[in-house]
Amino acid sequence: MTKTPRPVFDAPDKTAGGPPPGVKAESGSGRPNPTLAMTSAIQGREEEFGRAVNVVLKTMADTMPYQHYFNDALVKAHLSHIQFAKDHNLLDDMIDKDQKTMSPMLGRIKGKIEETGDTELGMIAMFDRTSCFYQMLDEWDSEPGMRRYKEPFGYVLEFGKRIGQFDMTVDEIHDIYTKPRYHGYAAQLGLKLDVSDIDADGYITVRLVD
Amino acid sequence: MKARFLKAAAAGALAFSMTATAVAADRQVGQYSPFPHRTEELGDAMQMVYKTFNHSSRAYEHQMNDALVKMTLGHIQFAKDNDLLEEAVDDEIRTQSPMLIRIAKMIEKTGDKELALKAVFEQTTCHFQLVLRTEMQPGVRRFVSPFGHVLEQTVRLGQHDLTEEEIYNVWLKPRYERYGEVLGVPLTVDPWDPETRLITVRIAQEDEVSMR
Repeated sequence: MTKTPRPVFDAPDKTAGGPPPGVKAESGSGRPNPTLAMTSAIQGREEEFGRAVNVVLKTMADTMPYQHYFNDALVKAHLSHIQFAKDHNLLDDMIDKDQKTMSPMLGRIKGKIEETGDTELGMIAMFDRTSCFYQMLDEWDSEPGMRRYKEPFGYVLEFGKRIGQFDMTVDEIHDIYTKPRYHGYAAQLGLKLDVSDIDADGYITVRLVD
Repeated sequence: MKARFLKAAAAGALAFSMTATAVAADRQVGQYSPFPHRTEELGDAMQMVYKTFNHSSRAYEHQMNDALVKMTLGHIQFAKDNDLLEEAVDDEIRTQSPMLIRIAKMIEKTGDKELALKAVFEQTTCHFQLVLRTEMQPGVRRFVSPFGHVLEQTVRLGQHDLTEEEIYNVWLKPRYERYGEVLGVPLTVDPWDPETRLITVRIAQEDEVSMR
């Protein structure tokens, strides 16, 4: 897989480079600037995009031993990691390690929150802009200071438990993994969160606390 | 006249037969999607792909497998930091064994060793979502190590202290060899090549097969 996008010959304003200095991609009304060529995130990466779509289609077509969803591999990687930490009595260490791993990004956002006073940047950083989050979920509800989503582990967990791969429950994962991670991220951002339990419909609600 | 009648009757029977087959398969005659009832999920998945591609800056271009690569790197690093790399591989083999044992029985029954490679690569979501392109030949699979792009950034940020060669030695190679043991089809992994970064896995008895 090549890491370098193919050169773009037909558009003066490459996606990666953005519009030329002093030219806005959008006009004041929010419409695309008509003086710029239309671009997309795919431009220059068409082959890679094709492979990515192919992976999604293959995953959806995979029905053995159960119907797979596009987030299956990522969910399973999380479950294996948590189970491994649990089996070796290293759950606290796992959370610490995760916090350290995320700290370069969170530290950068903390600076921006302090600079602008916009605490929503913290929610955007923890949820909307983190590929590890948005690749795990097909959708989530978003309001200022609130995110709500269906817990993603239960489906694969049930199949895994049947064949002895895991011995956890979704509530246990929520308590030992999801909650401490979010609270830790928030602390690093200088924020405070209220993380709900998993409700009767399987949803988790995370709110910024003033 | 009779010939025309017979032709029309035959065409009608053929059309009826096609329709019946299609209806039986819950399809309509003509073009159809393999996911007619999962359009919303397909749309959500495409959104996710687009978001990932759109999630780029001059500093770092996100790739489709980034989240899974990062999760895998986190797991390996965690095992390394706790001196549990062998246990991590053991755990992986234990987790994969139910599927591998099922395939091992099919290999015993059919004698088709190629099923071993199909099980490990083509039929495993955890592989084909991690490695977007795997080259195939009978008895051989090869792919470029998927970790380098993310690792380059995360090592710089101090998130990981792994190298691709190290991952090859402590994670990839032992796992493939152990998968082979469970499958009853010995698998060998070519030595690490820092130039090509290729991971080549072969069915041991068929190592004369060359991947061009």
